Amino acid sequence: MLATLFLATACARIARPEGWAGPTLADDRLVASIGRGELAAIDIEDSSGSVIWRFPPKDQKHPDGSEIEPLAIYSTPLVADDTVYFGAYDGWFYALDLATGDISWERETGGPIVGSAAVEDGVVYVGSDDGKLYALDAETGDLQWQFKSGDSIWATPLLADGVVYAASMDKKAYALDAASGEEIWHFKADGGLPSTPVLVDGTLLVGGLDRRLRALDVASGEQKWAFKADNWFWTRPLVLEDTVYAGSLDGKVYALDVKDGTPKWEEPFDTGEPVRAAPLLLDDVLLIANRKGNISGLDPEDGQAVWGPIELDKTILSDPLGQEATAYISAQGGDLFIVDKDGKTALLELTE
Amino acid sequence: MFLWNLVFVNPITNALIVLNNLVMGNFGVAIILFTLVMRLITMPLTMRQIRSSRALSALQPRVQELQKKYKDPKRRQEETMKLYREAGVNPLGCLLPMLVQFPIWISLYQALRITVGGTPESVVGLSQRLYPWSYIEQAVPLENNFLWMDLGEPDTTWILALIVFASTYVQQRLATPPTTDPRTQSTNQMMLWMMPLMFAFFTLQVPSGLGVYWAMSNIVGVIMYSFVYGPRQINWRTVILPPSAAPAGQQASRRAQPPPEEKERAEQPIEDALPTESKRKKRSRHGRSRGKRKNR
Repeated sequence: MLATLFLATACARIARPEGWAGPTLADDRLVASIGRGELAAIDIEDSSGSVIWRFPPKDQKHPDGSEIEPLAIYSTPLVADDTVYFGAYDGWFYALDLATGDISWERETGGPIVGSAAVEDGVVYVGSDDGKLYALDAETGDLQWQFKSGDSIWATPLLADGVVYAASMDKKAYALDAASGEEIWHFKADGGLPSTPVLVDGTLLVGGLDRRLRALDVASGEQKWAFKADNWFWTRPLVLEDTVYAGSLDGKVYALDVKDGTPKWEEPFDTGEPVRAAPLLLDDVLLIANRKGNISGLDPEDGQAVWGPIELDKTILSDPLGQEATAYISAQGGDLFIVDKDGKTALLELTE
Repeated sequence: MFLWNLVFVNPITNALIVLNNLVMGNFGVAIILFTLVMRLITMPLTMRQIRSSRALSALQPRVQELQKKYKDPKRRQEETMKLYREAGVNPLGCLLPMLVQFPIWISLYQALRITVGGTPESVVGLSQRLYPWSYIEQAVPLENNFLWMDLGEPDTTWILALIVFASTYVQQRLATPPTTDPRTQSTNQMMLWMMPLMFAFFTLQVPSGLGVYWAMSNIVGVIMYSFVYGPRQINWRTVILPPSAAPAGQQASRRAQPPPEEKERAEQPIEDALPTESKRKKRSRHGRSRGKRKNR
């Protein structure tokens, strides 16, 4: 009985947050998560991948004197005006100096931060697990306004024309006035909305835990169409001309007509494992990464594999970053992979 | 592993979420309800286990007699087994129901880990476990707060650990059969403290959802023991007090006293202590042999 108890307890260890922050490019450097709760600026001009700075800094603490322990970073860093903005699972939102990695300012929210930030007109917007969307002064971190939804906000807010769109796990997508935080409209789905919305031609695309990718009218919030998959939509969709590409946790990637949601490929592309990472266009190849770390290059026209799958044997849940014909992919554990449009893959070796 | 998940972990995970929806999204109450349902389903096995344990306890004086009487271990073993056989008691009867429940326990632990994990990765993992019913999917993400606890995190207040310790201790006291063998007594004494301490320690390490399950399961176990023995047969003072604090005369005696007729039966010669059914068989065997003799 004791042996069983030990076994059961070993199986029942607490699920540890690992993080799935994607990389960001700023000038000649890549800002990326290089381990659990660790961020670094990496010189990519230098082929050795030398680390310029690391976060958390050894010599800095929170304003109350406590140690900085980000726990995990899910928030893909956002770079604007030589500042790196990101939130961490410890509930703190950080603004770092891009050149040195020093903390310019930091602000605590009421829960872990999972989504990334959006910035416009000197205001940075970020959602938190406490259900609030925060609008902070990009220079000082001072609170401009906050909007309380009914559940966690894990999606990255989207800004367009003075409106901030936020998807919440309370099953609602909100359109808020970016200046005041006043609600303009909301749409209620049948499941939580963890997916970052995308805007195209007056249509807001958002995926949810009700297995649906929905297209909403951006002016009224009314649903235009909904496409149902075999599992949840958690990816940020990619729109190319009149086609939206979205991966699902059912392991498939769908290509749908933006106008009415009808499938464009004969069959969705089946990767065999959940897809959370957003699809990425590399030149003329659609790059798809699934949770197991299998990367495939598809023809966006018909969904047929051009190359792959390449097996990285790493958990990949983060959104890849594209730079011309090169993709940077962060795997859980801190490995950074470089993939070109022909499927040639290399591990970015970091040096101090 | 696929089969294990298909048969045990996934159904339990989904059942937990259905219960969560039935109790308006309170996952702590869902765990308590689930524990009650599981204990209800496995009640026949548990009752069998308790009764087996009780029957073994009743035979202890006779076993002791045999141990004194026979020095040869092989003979002693044979005679002991014969005693069990004649009394209609299977010494493994306590273990079998427990073993049958193990898969349920382990898969419940796994299901709790999956459901109360709370991290974004565990929510992605949960998507692979849920049945494609909107009634279930709409519950995600689950509300992890229950009373003072975050069910996905260990309870750092120690309150849950203390509840688990106390409930495990009381159940252990009721479940441990009394013995006059000093070696067994010493082992029982060690286990009496070790088990609650271990469970309390684990409660501080694992998600508190599991601690809630353990505490509730123990409380239901104590109620079951009380039901089988009869509440008046249990000396609650000696159950709650540590053995060293109990009156000297009661230390070696059982916390849960067997009914007087069973006690009498245990003190009688072996034949007289046997349950009615065994006695009937024995009589009929004797009758046949007597008859044969008669015929000769």
